[in-house]
Amino acid sequence: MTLRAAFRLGLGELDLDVDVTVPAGTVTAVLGPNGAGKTTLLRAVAGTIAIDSGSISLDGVTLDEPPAVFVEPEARRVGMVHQDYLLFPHLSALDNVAFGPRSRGSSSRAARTHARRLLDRVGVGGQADAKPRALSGGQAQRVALARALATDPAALLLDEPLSALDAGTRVEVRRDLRGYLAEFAGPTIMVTHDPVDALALADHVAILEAGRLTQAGTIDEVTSRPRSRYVADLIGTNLVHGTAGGTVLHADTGATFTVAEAASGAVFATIAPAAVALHRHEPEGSPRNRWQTRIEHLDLLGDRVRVRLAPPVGLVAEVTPAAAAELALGEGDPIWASVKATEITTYPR
Amino acid sequence: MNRARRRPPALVVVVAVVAVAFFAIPLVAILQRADWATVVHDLTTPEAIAALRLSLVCSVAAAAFSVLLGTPLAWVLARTHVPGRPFVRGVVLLPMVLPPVVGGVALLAAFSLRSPIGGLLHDTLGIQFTFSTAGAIMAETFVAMPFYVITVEGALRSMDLRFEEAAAVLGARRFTVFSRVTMPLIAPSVVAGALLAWARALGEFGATITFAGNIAGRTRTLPLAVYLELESDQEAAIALSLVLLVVSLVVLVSLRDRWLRST
Repeated sequence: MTLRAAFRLGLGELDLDVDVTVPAGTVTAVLGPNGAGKTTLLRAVAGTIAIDSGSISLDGVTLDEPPAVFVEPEARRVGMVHQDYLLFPHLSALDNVAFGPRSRGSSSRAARTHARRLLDRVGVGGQADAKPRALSGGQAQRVALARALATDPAALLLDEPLSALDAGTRVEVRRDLRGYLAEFAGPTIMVTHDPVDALALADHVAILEAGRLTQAGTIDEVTSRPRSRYVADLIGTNLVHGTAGGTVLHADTGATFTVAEAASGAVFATIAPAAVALHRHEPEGSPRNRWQTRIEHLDLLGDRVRVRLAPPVGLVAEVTPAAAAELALGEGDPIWASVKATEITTYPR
Repeated sequence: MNRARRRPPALVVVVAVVAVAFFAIPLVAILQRADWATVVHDLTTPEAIAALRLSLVCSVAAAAFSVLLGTPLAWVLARTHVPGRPFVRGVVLLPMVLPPVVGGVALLAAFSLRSPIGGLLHDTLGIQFTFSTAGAIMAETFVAMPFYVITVEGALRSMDLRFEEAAAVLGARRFTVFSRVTMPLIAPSVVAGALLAWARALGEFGATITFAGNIAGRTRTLPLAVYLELESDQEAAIALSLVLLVVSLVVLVSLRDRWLRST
């Protein structure tokens, strides 16, 4: 029951060109900035938009392969949880869930019995007769999930399933969703812009930027070796593009780094912000990477202060508020920065 | 009202009051002219009752035809990209601005017994529109349906299409999507459009008298009766006018918000 989507699709500004394979029983999170084409990818699989070239297949059945094949959405066995859920406002929670089975030929009674069971299973059996506008965000999300599961889909598509929830509800719904996804036998694609959701719910992640998959793999693979600024920002690390020769790394920005392990050719390097030390005066001792630079931007982030350094170094350093106060950091101030060679990880581009 | 809200400029208010008076004065005048002692009598004469009944039958039928024919039409105008759609919309909405008497003349040209279509309908199916209730209904539908179409088309355009997509992904075929999702979602506008069309049909005069004639019990609806009585019995004409006036006012007041929002 594998889902394979390798296609190209143009829609306005968007030029979506992807190749994703999701094995049965696994969850692939598609992460990416707004406008990258995440929802369009799901719509193509669901059949509410046709692809221009390539093919989409589920469980060996071709769903869309221009020009010959296009299976209408109602004939695809796909369950979808939409952004904002899109529960039909004129139907009760129960009838929303029963809508799918009814449309696929179940009797009214059988559909409602099935719907009631599903609502109970996702924990909103008590809200069966409520109209969507009377439901809380968490309840609506559960009803939407029950509705998607009610047609016994072969694949599940979740479009930002948790983004409309407040922080408290989110934790709880995320935990429950994790349980339902573990029970689901088919492939699942979950679109999100929250790496925490991906971490908690997905087996694989695919990074979609401007219509292209820039990186895909297990969460470990992707986060340990970010290949784009977007991923580096997601996990909060510095990403340097450069060319290595031995233990010297020439960054594309013009800065030079000394690394511990020899490498050659085009490489990426990551440096954790906490590993970037700041000094008022030229540091003494071991660090082989030291620069005199300027503070471009200061940002208080929870209990850390993020300090963006001016180009060509261009790194982000992270210090405690206490350290920031002690160093009397201010935007535009000159500052010394240092990084130990052993704190820089390189890998081929 | 919040005290910080600025008061409107005096000149604007004065002119607006004049405009309201322009509409209100004739209303008040007709109420004043009405002879309340004889209103009930004037409305219960056999002629008046016949006109009332006929008006009710014709206007309800016209509203029903508007919904039946106008809903698919509104859907096509809102959702498809047929070539020449602006032209089609123009043709459909034309009766809203056309003098109704011209509409009546056009209907005569198309459906009178001497026209090819009218002749054919009469010879094959025995249907005659001129000088018949069917003709009155047709004339009213011709004038009233655009009000329904424009209301429902607006609702179809502004509704969130993703609900229909969600229904399709759940397995609903096109007609199921239309009947179980689209129609319920635009139901308020369907009701508003139908009421508006009904009120317009109720007041229809020009197209009806031109096309269907003025025959008691068959095509003499309320407005036609008012016109006729004006020659002989002004009190009766005013009594009948009051009925039309009250009904129209009630419909408009109950619809005002919906109508303004959908346009």
